Amino acid sequence: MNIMGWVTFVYLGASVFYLLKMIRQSLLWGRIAGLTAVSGFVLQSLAMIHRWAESYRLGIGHAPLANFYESLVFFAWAIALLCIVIEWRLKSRNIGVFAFPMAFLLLAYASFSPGVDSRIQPLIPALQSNWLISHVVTCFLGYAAFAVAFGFGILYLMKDKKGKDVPGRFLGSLPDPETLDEWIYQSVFFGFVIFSVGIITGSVWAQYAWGSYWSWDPKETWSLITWLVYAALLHSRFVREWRGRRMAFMAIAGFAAVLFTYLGVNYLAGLHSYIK
Amino acid sequence: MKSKNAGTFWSFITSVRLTVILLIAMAALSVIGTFIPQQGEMIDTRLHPGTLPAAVLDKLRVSDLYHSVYFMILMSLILLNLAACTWRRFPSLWKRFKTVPDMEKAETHDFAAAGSVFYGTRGPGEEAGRLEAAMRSSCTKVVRHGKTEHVSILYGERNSFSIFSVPLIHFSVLVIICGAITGSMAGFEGYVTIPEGEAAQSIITKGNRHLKKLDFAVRCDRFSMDFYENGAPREFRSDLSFIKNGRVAYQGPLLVNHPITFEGIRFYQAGYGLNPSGSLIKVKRGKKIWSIQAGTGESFDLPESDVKVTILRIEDDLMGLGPAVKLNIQLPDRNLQFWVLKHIEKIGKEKPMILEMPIFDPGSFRPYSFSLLDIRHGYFTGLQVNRDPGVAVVAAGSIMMVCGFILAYFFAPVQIWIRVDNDSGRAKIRMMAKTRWNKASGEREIRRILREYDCRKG
Repeated sequence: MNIMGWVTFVYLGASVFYLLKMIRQSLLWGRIAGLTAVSGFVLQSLAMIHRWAESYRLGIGHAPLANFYESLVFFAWAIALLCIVIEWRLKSRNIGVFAFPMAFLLLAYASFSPGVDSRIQPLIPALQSNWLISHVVTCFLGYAAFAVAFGFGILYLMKDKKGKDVPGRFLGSLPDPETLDEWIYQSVFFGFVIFSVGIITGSVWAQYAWGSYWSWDPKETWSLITWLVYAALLHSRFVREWRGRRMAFMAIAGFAAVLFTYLGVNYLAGLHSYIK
Repeated sequence: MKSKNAGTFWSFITSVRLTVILLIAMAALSVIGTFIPQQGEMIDTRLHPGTLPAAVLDKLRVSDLYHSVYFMILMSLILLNLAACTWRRFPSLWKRFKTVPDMEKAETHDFAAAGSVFYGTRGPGEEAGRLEAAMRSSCTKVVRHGKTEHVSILYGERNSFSIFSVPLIHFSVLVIICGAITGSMAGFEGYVTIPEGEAAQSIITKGNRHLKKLDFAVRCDRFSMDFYENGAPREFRSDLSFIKNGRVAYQGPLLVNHPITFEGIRFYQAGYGLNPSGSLIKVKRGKKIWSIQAGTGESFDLPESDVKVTILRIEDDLMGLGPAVKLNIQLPDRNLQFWVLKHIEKIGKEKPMILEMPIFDPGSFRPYSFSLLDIRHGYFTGLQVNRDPGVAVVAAGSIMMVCGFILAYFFAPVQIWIRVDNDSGRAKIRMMAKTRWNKASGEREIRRILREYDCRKG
């Protein structure tokens, strides 16, 4: 089994520890979870650097951001990164209970699904562009931020049932609803900014590669849909001052659009398809 | 009554409720667009005329949703809403930028929610002075209200210019949409295929499929491909010459991701293919046999005669009969045209009827007889050809948008309020930061002022 396979299990471990932390409300489990998460993240970073170096050894050197497998791995990496940064900023280990299962599932799919080819492949002409790295990195950081916002949305709905702060056995250690609401918004705002940059870099690239900065390819259209959903969310928060449950629901709906943009679109014909 | 209606309309047009509705509507319409095949995709309604779904789709114009009336109306409404919102809100934004809040009212400001409360070591007046100095080092528009020993209120702002990031982002959306409209009205998109060694002077436009003539010719000198060891393509390359007034004005390789611009028109490597381009023909007269090579459109003199033969077409598979060439024999009084089939013997056995048709008779021009020995293939390159004067506008809009986001995200405007009360001789200091977008940046500003304040404690 390669390194990425091991990282998958480390993330599974982190997910279990986060869950134990939540159920037992124990700081010790929280520390173990955080430590496991960080070591998994470091291991994954090393594995990605190794893969990058390996591609140069094969004489087809390129950043590991070029096929479906590599995108799944980078998505998981970005979620882990944001989760670790946010937990460090918030000084509370809670969002990991959603973030690491997501990172685990992405890596498990990447590593163990027979349909995903994990070999390092050379870049086809359309991908031979300096815009590859900036486009993929910004888009997936955006996706990851939306995934984290989705996690906060779920936490919010668990914590705040029908507007009442439920003390509950498991949920006592969760931040108060206002903090969760603030972090739904913070993640969405960050995601929106970086995802906008992702769309812009993508359209610059498309202008060079396909001759048109926008051609209503299903992936382009779905990224616009995702962008519109989050734009609606931000407007309803900024100006109409929607808070709480509505934010949480919109963050969940937005993430559904993200998932369709990433995965669903492969089943529609288009230029972006990972499935040939 | 009339003005009230106008007022209602105006507040509807400038409302963010409308914005949210429009954004959701646009998203919904786009969703439909991705599930119904669009023009040029799987189902072309023109190819399936008469079928009910095709007729319905055609009527609703959903087969070309992104250029449909609905989409245009929605887009215009978004533009209108965006412009109206900016128009309505900009004056108050400008006022907020130019002026300082009313300090008289500030005294009753609710400092109960202040994030940072502590007691100073010196008297209230001195503390207020030191805080003011600390504030001035990082904030703009610093105001101190109430010089008494009783209560002082300090106000300052940071990144106040950033309140314009929102209109900047909205304006950038306007610019991008305007650029897109410019492009679709003043530009064109087309496609051309050029066989190796040949030149093309006109392209087929996308959408209405007109033939559009260019002011110059494009010649494909060479098309080449390169592959990796695993068989995946590494490079597609067309060596092009741009010919104007009979002279080569520019020459260069065209690669994927590296378009060539010539006279404002951009060429992209978009496709390639193999075309039957040449033929090897055997001509027989009595006991004499000649072999002749000729490509499409080329002519040769028929040996031992004064007639000219032209290759009109070369087909890989003519109506299931296999490779074929169409010849034209120019006689003094008329043109004789017929097809020469490669697999003539096989066809003669299986479908003898076909060879009885004069158009397939290899002996149409006696005493000569023709047979097709082979067909040669040559590459053609497929080029996408665009002119889009809106690109620069869209690019400018995108840059504005990124700048707006950078301002909004990294330089969030913060308003800082500090209240120093005389709490029986001691200075009770309450600080709070107000920010609409980014709580963290407010806390950061408070920390910054406190650091500066601590430095001045001395």
